[in-house]
Amino acid sequence: MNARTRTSSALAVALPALLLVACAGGERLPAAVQGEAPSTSAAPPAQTFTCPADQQEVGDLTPKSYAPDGPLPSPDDLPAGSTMAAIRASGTLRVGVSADTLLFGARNPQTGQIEGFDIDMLKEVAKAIFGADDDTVYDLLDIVVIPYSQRIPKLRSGEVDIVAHTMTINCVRWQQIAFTSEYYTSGQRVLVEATSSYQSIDDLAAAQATVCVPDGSTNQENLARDYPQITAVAVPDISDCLVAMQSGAVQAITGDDTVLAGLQVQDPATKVVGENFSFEPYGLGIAADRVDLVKFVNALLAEMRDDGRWQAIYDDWLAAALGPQSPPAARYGRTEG
Amino acid sequence: MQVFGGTVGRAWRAVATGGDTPTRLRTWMVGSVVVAVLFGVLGAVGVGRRDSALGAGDAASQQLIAVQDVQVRLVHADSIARENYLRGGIEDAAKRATYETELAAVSDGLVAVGNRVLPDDAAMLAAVSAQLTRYSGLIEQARANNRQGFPVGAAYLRTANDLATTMVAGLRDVQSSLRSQVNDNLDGADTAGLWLHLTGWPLLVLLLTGGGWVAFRFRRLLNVPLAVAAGVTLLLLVIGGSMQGSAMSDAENATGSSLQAADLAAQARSAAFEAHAQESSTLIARGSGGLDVAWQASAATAASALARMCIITGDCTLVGTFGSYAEAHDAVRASDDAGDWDGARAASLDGEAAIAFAAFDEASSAAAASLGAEAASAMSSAADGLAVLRVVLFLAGLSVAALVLVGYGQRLREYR
Repeated sequence: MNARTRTSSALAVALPALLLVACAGGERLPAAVQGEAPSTSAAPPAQTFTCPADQQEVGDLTPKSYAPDGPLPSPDDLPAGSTMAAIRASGTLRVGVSADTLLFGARNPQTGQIEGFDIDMLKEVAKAIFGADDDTVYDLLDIVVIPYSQRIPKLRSGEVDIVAHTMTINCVRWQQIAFTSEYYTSGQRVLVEATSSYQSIDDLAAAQATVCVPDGSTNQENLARDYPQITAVAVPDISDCLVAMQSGAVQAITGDDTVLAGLQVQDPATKVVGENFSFEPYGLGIAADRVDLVKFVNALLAEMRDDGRWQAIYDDWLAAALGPQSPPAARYGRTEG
Repeated sequence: MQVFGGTVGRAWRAVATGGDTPTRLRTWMVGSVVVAVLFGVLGAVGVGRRDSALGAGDAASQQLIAVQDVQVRLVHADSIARENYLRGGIEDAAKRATYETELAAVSDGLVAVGNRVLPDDAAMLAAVSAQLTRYSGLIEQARANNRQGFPVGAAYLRTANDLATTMVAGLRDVQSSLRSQVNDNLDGADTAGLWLHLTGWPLLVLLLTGGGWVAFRFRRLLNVPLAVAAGVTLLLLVIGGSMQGSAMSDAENATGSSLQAADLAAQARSAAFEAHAQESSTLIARGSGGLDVAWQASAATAASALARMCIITGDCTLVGTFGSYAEAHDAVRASDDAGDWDGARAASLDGEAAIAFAAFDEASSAAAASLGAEAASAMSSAADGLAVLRVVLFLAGLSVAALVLVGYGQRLREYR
């Protein structure tokens, strides 16, 4: 092996080694950390319910409720073993409500309390069970704020005793829970800018306007079915509709008149226009197997219609926004089983 | 030039024909001079490239830290906005002041970083900057409505929070780009280091072989200029290679330790503030426990980042501090789920959860600042000395070429 050969051999050995050293990749920055949220079990497929022919809504008739067994018993004379007695023994009435439906159920930031027409209805139920007075009755409510979608599940799971949440009575829901007799009659209307020339849903339809509606609501179904020429903008919550209208993204909002009245209070530069174009009878929701509680509340509602308490609560919360109104008549006739 | 051209021509002819001794001397001389000059020039260019690649990596890492600071301040501000909304009409004045300070810092930070990053990243930051104006407007509308007890305030707050989430996603994209830039520059610096070796070792071989042949041919012990040239080349390869390797190693160590730890600290703080904000949102949507899934996702990210940080730094204090907050949060949720919303709200705003989160905020803020400063210092000092090395290499290459001319020139003179 001559000198040239030795040199070549040395280079052949040294260069790859040097290249390896020079090219060896060191520490690099890894991608951002992404923690995994705990997996949630998939929701079971939605049950489908059909309305028996004898319980279909016809005209302005509401599905019937259970007739009271008699006059409202006094708080100290609740039937032994009844749901009411059990609630009284537990010390609180567990109620499911909305906290962002002004006038029906909304949190007062000054007092921290949730207040409105629905809440006053529940206070009356608590007074009837516990015999409490106005000053102490709020503390007897174990309030659970629930979204629209949780109204029926919370009742069926037993997490709440009663739901007051602008809930329309219909026979599909009757297959899942029980309702008291109707405590308020609402209907779908529209909210527009105070300076708007639109006077009804028909005007908006003629102009092929853009209208905001809560996603998944009966309001959305009504709009799509009866006014297909309107461009519907669906948002998660009715309050999001007000944000959309204030930012100019939509020309009107449609929803129950009660809810629209709450929006109008929040934005005086708006107005509720037109006639109701749907019929939305509100009922208090109770678990299907608590028929005694339904009858008890129905007896209470009957008293409130007669003695002016319903009217006083209505006047306190809704008369200014929605004008004078009388309590809706109760319709009984449902039987157990 | 003509003389040099003639010499090269004779040299090539000598290579082709075997040639006589003067011609072979000239061949070795020309070959060695060319390689020596290449060694000086390419070595200097290679070191310069490694220097500038490390500098660019350092700049990208500084920008990464700056963008992360912007993101942490944004989610902090959003967390305060939700917390103050939960307080209702009476806000915490100190927190409100912090919110305003953080938002101003976000605005300034976006402009400052936007001027230093690549155009694509700058465009993304400009988009975030535009969204920031809308975000603060939405928060003000949420506040105004909340003070009047109007539930639409919560809708404005949700819209603002969604916008903040979009902004954070934009900032994360920029960070991802900057992480790639740091890594790409380190890869570039790695490759540039080869140039010194690819020219230096062949030169050394040429000098040693040529010097050996001259000594053997002329029966001398040593050709001093060629020996000195070989010594200088070896010295440069050892010292230059060592300095280059050290710079690379320092940069990689800084990336793998302090920069990565600072990166994780910022990610952990951002995720923790997001979790804290979700806690407020869940309570604002009172009883809507389903929103806690978002808290759990953010908390999982924070915990994961802190666990990695603990492995890198060996300091696991923050893992425990965040764990304490997570336990306090569970108690908040338990109270709310049990119907004690007032108790849950009090615990979140001023009770156990608030105290635990404040402790985490304070400790993680100090850790993030310290790690950020350490990373900045380590990255910027990694390339120290390479600028000088570049000049030395260039001059040394020319010196070696001169020594080669002198060394072979001594022997060539014997044939005149």
